[in-house]
Amino acid sequence: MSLGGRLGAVLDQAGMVSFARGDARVAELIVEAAAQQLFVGVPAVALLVAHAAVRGDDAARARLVLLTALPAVRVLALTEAEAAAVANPPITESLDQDLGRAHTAWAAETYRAYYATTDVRSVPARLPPGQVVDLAATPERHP
Amino acid sequence: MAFAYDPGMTKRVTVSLPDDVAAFLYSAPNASALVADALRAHMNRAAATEVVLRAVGFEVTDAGREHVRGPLSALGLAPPRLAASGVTASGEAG
Repeated sequence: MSLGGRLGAVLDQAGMVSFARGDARVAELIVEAAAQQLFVGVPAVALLVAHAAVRGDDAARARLVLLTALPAVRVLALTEAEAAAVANPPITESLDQDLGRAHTAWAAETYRAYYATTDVRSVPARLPPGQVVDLAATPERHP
Repeated sequence: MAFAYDPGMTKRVTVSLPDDVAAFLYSAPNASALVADALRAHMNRAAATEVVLRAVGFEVTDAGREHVRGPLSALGLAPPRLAASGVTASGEAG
């Protein structure tokens, strides 16, 4: 898959939901990635989970649409080959039916990018702490 | 008013493009200007992104950007340490 540049971070569904609810910390990650000529990846499965989480909230849904339209953001599709790879991580781990985070972790590993989240406790255990950007380490900020 | 490129301030660059992109470029009246505009938009996308996000209410701060600057900067030096073996894709997503 050609993304036209280096992927710096991959956003999980917790990060997407935070963005959808107006959390500036995710916005700052995207702006800084763009400043460094990097992209932020949005895995399609995690995006689906995020949309489901904010259904009924029109403003949040609109922000998710905006997220995928930003020039520094790339949606990471799930082809048949990727679906097979995501379901079979190199290190045996129960997916616990959390397919959004499984897709995010797979993308972070495959593209050697950071796994960015606002819920660090939910990060799949196989990812080393050094590959996780904890956006919740700074105070939550909403408009 | 017509804009002209001063040959003394330009460089000739050879690139490889997908067929559809090359076809579009060949159809442009001024391919050099088109490429320059597209690349400038790419170069300025951080500012453009910040403008869009601020317009819809996100408060982007230097302090917040600083929190993620270090990790992202480190990508230029070395990719994040990978826990899993057998990862074959390169860091270049392209």
